[in-house]
This record gives sequence, C-alpha cells and structure tokens, in this order.
Amino acid sequence: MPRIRFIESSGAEHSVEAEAGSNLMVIATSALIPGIVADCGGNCSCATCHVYIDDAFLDSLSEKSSMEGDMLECAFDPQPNSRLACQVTVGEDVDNMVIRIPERQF
Amino acid sequence: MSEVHEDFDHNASEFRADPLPYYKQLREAGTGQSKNYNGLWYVPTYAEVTAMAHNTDGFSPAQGTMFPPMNDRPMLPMESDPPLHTEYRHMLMREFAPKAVAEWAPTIRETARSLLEDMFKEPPFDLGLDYAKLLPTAVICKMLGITFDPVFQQWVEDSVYRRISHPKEAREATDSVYSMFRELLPDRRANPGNDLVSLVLTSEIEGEVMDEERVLDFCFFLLVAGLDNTNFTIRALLHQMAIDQDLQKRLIENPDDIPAAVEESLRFFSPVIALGRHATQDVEFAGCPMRKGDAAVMLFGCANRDPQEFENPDEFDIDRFPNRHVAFGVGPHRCLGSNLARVEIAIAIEEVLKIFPGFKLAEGAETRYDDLGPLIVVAAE
Ligand code: HEM
Ligand code: FES
Repeated sequence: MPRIRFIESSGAEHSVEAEAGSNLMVIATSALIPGIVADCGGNCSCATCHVYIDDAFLDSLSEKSSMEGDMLECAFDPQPNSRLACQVTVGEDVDNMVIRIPERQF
Repeated sequence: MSEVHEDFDHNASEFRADPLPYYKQLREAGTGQSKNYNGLWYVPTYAEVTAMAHNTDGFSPAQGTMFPPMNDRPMLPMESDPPLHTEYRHMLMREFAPKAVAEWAPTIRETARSLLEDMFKEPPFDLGLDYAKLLPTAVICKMLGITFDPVFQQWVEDSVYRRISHPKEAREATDSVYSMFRELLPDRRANPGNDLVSLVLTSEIEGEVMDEERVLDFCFFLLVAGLDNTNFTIRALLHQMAIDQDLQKRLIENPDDIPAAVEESLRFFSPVIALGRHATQDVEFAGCPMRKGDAAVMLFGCANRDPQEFENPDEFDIDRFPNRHVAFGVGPHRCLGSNLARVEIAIAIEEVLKIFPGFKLAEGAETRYDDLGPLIVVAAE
C-alpha cells in the first residue's frame, strides 16, 4: 500500500498507509491527523479540509471541479497546489506523496 | 416499536429539563417511531444521525424541518433540495466561509466591547440578557446591512424565543420583520451594497434573479437562523466557566485554548436539539420501515453524547480529540453560519475574560435552562 506523509504547519509529520482509490479526507480523518477538520464530512461545502499537495503528484490526482475551485478561494491562503482533501481520490502511484496542512482551517 | 419512542416528545418540558436519561434510552433502542406529531420518527445515535444527514436522495428537508413548524414559509436555504440547494449554498458560501468570517472579527470584537460598556452603565447586569443575547443580533444586522435598534431586537426576540410559548405574538413579530425587509428592498435593489440582502437580491439562481417572496425568505432565515443558538452557547460556556474556576483560569492563562472550549461547548450543550427530514420514498432506515412522506428528526444533542463516538461523553473536556460533534449538523445542509458562530462565541468569551477575570455566579443567581439557556447573573470579583 502507498504511504502518504502528512506534515503539519508546525513541522510534525505523520506517515499513513493509504489504499489506492480511497478518499484523501477519509484517510486523514481516520488516521486522526490534526488540522484537517472536514466539517461537512466531504460535501465540498465547508473548505475546512484544505491541504497543499506535493507538486510532483498534483497531476496524478482526481480532477478539481469548478465548485472545488470556488470553495478553495474561500479558504485561508490558497495556493496553486491547494486541494480540498475530500475531493481527492488517491491512485496507486502516490507512494511518499507529501501533503502539507495549512496553519488554520477556520 | 420500542416503548421509549412511543411517548417521546422532543418539546416536552420534562425532557427539556433533564434530557440525559431520555437520550440514553433512545440511543440504546436506536431509531424508532413516536405517537406524537403524526408518527414522527426519532433518530438518536451518532451513526444514524450521520447516515440520515448524508442521505439527501432518501430524506429531504424541503417539506419542513421543525415539528411543530415555525411558520408556513420555507426557511431558505435549509428547506430546499439539490440542485437548487447547491446553487443557494454557492451563492452564500463566499460570505460565510472561513476567510470571509475572519474579516468580520474586528467588527465583532468592537461590537462585543461596546455592548459590555453599555451594560456597565446600568448595574446590576446579566451577562446573558444584557450581552450574550444582543451580540449575535447586532452582528448579523451589520452583515445584512440593516439597523439594530431596540424595537427590532424586540421583534427578533419575540419571533425566535417565544415561538413555542407565545405563538401568536411570535407570529406577529415575524410579520413585522418580513414587512421591514419588504419596505427596504426597493431601495436596496436600486443601490445594492456589500451586504447579504444585496447579495441575495442580485444573485442569479437557475439563470435569473429571485422573486421578492423568495428573497424575503432568505432575509428572514439569515437573520434568525443563528441567534438563539449562538446566544445559548455563549451563555452556557460563560456559565460553565463560572462554576468551574479551573477551566476559567486555564482559558485566561491560555486564550489559545478558547476555540477548543467553544467546540466542546457546542458538543456538550448542543443548542439545536432536533431538525427533521421527510422520507422521499418507502425506505428501510436503521432497520425501520419508513413510508414515503414519513417525518423523522435527527437528535443532534443525543448523538453528541453517544459513547460509541465520544469517550466519557457526559464529561466536559476541552482536550477531547477528535471532537467531531454534530451540533452544526453534518452533510450538505451542515450549518452555513458555523464559522461565524465559532468566531462570535470565542470573541464574546475573550472580551468577558479581559474585563471580568475570575467572574462568578452572583449569589442567588438563577441557573435554569429554558428557551434561552442558563440565566446567569455574574458577580465580578
Ligand atoms: C451555535 C450556533 C449555531 C448552531 C448550533 C447552528 C446549528 C445548525 C444546524 C444543526 C443546522 C443543520 C440543519 C440541517 O441539517 O437541517 C444549521 C443550518 C443552518 N444554519 Fe446554523 N447554527 C448556528 C449558528 C448559525 C449562524 C450564526 C447562522 C448565520 C446566518 C446560521 C445559519 C444557518 C443556515 C443558513 C443553515 C442552513 C444551511 C443549509 O441548509 O444549507 N447558523 N445550523
Ligand atoms: S470536508 Fe467540507 S469541503 Fe471537504
């Protein structure tokens, strides 16, 4: 199984095994990663599951919808590599992908 | 059919006075049907509440979410289904999303301070009645771009707080609020600003601007949706800090812990007890045969005390992690104002602690839970 590395804004790191095809927000919240709040439970309607994705892996992830793009503009400090974790499905080839967690979600 | 459900009524005063024993029995029995409100189903556990909230195909809020209903007009955006609901949320989210709300924080703080100053002018005072209750109204008025004055506060209070005890007065007050918005719309339409009323007036839904009645339904619900809940949570947390001085001391010394205290208050006090849905088809839910059109309510406060989800659920513990409570609901209809409410509650607490560190309950203070939450008269030390 691929391993994903979550890094908090403080630098604290958590390495988590992820099954290909699973949802990034579910992976993070099941592993109790701090800082991924995911208030709405995956409905693309709260913007509190905001993460920064390792550039090298951006293209390998499920595509960003226009709704997700709009929600991301409502989050704190969105960057070109921002995604809402609940809208991301991870593939086979994400071993060692680094996900950075923003300083704040709300 | 289990006996606990059969006679259960979420509005009954015996239940409101002491909900925990009911909650325990309801959760142990799982979802079940009551004789009240034409056979209302009660959904008590964390897993069942979450399942119903996420199942938008099977359960719709569009035919009403409150039992008995608040009035005969839809509460928007809550009482609507996708794809309309998705468009409504899209229209509003920019103003209620985390970043937008953070921009309101200085205004909220200023408002809190000025309410506290006014309160000081007329001792003795009650932090609940003279502060907690006024702050959410003052803030949402600013967001809507309308004037906050005593008459208006009275209408809002009558329509929100007296809807169960004095339905007739509440209804009249609601009509007054609708009329106030109705009179203001022509001018707002001609001179739209940066406020929520202008946003709703000018936004296109399904390709066109909305008719006046629908705009008014939005105005009314955006005004009242968060008032009693936010007020209740501020009061309840102030009360908790008054009876638990260690907690208060910790929050004075570590203001960074206030957001965690706010989350735990939301879980622990769960201001919204029940909101409902109607089954859109015959369906088996949690082992229960529901018929198309049957009404069911999710018991958020009950789910928030579910030991399957929360360790020692009846303990107030601000270090709880994770704290994935459903005080704001969950799923597509999860509270639009949650970020606003969190910021308001946190600021309300911070400002009180700056002025009254070490506050206590006044001698003989009445602490009963009614529609308003605990009444607290505060004595400063
Ligand atoms: C502590 C304070 C609050 C609590 C506990 C609370 C609770 C809730 C709950 C449980 C729902 C879910 C409805 C459902 O699933 O049917 C909801 C929806 C909603 N709340 Fe709040 N609320 C609070 C404050 C606010 C504030 C300040 C606003 C500001 C306008 C607000 C606006 C709304 C709106 C518009 C909806 C409907 C969302 C939708 O259906 O998409 N709430 N709230
Ligand atoms: S969990 Fe709410 S937007 Fe992702």
